[in-house]
Amino acid sequence: MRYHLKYHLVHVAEKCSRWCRMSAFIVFMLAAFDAAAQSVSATTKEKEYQIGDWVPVDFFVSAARNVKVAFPAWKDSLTASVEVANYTSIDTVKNGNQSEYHQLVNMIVFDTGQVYIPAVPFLVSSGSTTDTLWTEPIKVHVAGVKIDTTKDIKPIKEPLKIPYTFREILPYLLGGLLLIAAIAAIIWWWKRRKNKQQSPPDEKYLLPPHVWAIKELDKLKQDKLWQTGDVKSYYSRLTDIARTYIELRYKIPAMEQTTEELMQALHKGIIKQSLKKDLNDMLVLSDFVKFAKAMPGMSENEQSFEVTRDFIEKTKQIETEPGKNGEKKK
Amino acid sequence: MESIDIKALNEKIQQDSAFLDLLNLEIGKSIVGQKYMLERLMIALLSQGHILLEGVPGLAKTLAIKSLSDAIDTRFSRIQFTPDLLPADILGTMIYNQAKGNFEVKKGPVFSNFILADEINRAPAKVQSALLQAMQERHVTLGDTTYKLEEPFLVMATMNPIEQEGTYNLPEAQVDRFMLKVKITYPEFEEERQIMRQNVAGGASGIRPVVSPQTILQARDTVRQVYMDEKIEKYILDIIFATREPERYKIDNLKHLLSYGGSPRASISLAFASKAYAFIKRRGYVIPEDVRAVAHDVLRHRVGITYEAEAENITQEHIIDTILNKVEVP
Repeated sequence: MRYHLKYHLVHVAEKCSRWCRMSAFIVFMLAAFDAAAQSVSATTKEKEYQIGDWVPVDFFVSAARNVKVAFPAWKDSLTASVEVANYTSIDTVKNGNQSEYHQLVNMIVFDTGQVYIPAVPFLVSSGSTTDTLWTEPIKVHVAGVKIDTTKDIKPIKEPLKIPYTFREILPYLLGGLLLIAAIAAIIWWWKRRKNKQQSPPDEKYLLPPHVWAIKELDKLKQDKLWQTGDVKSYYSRLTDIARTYIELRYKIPAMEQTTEELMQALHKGIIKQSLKKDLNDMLVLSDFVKFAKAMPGMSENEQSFEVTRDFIEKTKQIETEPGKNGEKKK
Repeated sequence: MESIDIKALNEKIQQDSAFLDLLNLEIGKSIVGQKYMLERLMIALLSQGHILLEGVPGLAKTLAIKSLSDAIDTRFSRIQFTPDLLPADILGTMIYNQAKGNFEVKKGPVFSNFILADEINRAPAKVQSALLQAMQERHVTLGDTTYKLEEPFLVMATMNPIEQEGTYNLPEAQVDRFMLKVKITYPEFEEERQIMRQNVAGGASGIRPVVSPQTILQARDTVRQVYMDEKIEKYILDIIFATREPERYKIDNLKHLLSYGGSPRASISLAFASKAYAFIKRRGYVIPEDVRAVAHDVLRHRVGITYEAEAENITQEHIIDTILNKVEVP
């Protein structure tokens, strides 16, 4: 009986052990099946790179078609020494029941020596379950710049000049055009305003002095001022014509000078003394009329007019066509 | 409008101004040269003004006014302005009479016809203002009584331009009370030779009174009657306004050089001085030459210049010259 119980216990233990081995095999098989259904990998073409070079890392994910795969959101850097330069969009290929995802991420390493590109997580979701798959870290060797100490040290290279694109230039171009348009508008407005303010140029500056003066004398004669008793206005206009003519003809500020000063300015070299004396007499008489209520006779009024006309006629500057040598005759 | 007979006025002026020859002859006995200063003294005397003289010591300033006073038979006082001078030293004061047991008036040197206020800028402001008030109001109050100052009353103040230490500059408002500010310069070579000879030989003979104060008062009335045409009035106002608003007369370059222009008192003084000048020239009417002849002396102390002008070494003389050369003569 004791032998039978022992035999029975050994038999049960063997059965249990077999059952456990079978269960472990089934679990292992299931796990192997899952692993074959969803996989991630990260690979580089080379294992050696130079500092500053792009390190292209190909991230590959294979998963069942009904499984959703979420790639990581790439930031500027993965670790302190590994930076993300750029990355492509995710390329998806359907292969039977499987979907294969590819993304190429260019990284830059600015450290030399052995550098690890860290494990990167990918989320896979099937129904209500979500799992995280990690890639294996990749070890790459980053070499520094080889310096040939036998050669001279070269100067630092200038930054690369990247040509501007039209899109970059466009805002400046539009701003410049707007500024030019604004300046042009201001100038146009200012000129228009100035033109409005400016009275038409005085005839005396357009005509030769003697032509203008004779024209004014004719107008004065037509107005018959002294004949109607307005002797003061007559002499005021007469002296104004004479003074303006002198100012234009001899460039003497006659309008701002007294009779005495004007006579001093018209010195010997400028006009004949006889002309000067007649002009002086006329101006002195005019001063009497203008400032001392003098009332000259008819003959004096006419004589003053003739003296002025005579002075203009005898001192006028006649400009002819340019001569052979191009000079103007006076 | 008031009718003026210029011919009759001219004749009256010929008569009333006859004393000028006598006066000049008499003063000429003691003063050689300095005709400009004497002429300005007469202008101030005839137009009830006062005169501020600027010149180095030894130019016969004191002698000129003393001689004028002697020749007109009037009283003369000389007040030497010093830092410790008091208003009572000029105006006078009330003094207690012990014998009579009352206060008696002790009149100061201001109670004279001709006063030389020597180096007026050496006394403090309260003393200056005491004299300037008497000059303006022509009366002085001592105690409870107001005393009218005797006419003709003329103050000639002097300022030494080279010693400025310890002086009290006259404020603009007080300088404006002087009708004329005259700058006097050294005599000509020949004049100085005569001055030297005259003094070495024992000095000039004494001045006799040749004109009565009544003659001066009568001449003052005649000066007021000198005809001033409205064209001359406009010319005077144009000059004064050009000191205030140079841009109005197209003298824009003066705008930043002028800190202030002539006051209405300047217009009055210029009109009066022009009339007096015309009278001295034996004319019954004012001509632009008269205005120009006195313009510098009337405006010199009434035109303020800016720091910019001082930095550019531009003086009041330059500004007045520019204005006279730019304002149209009638």
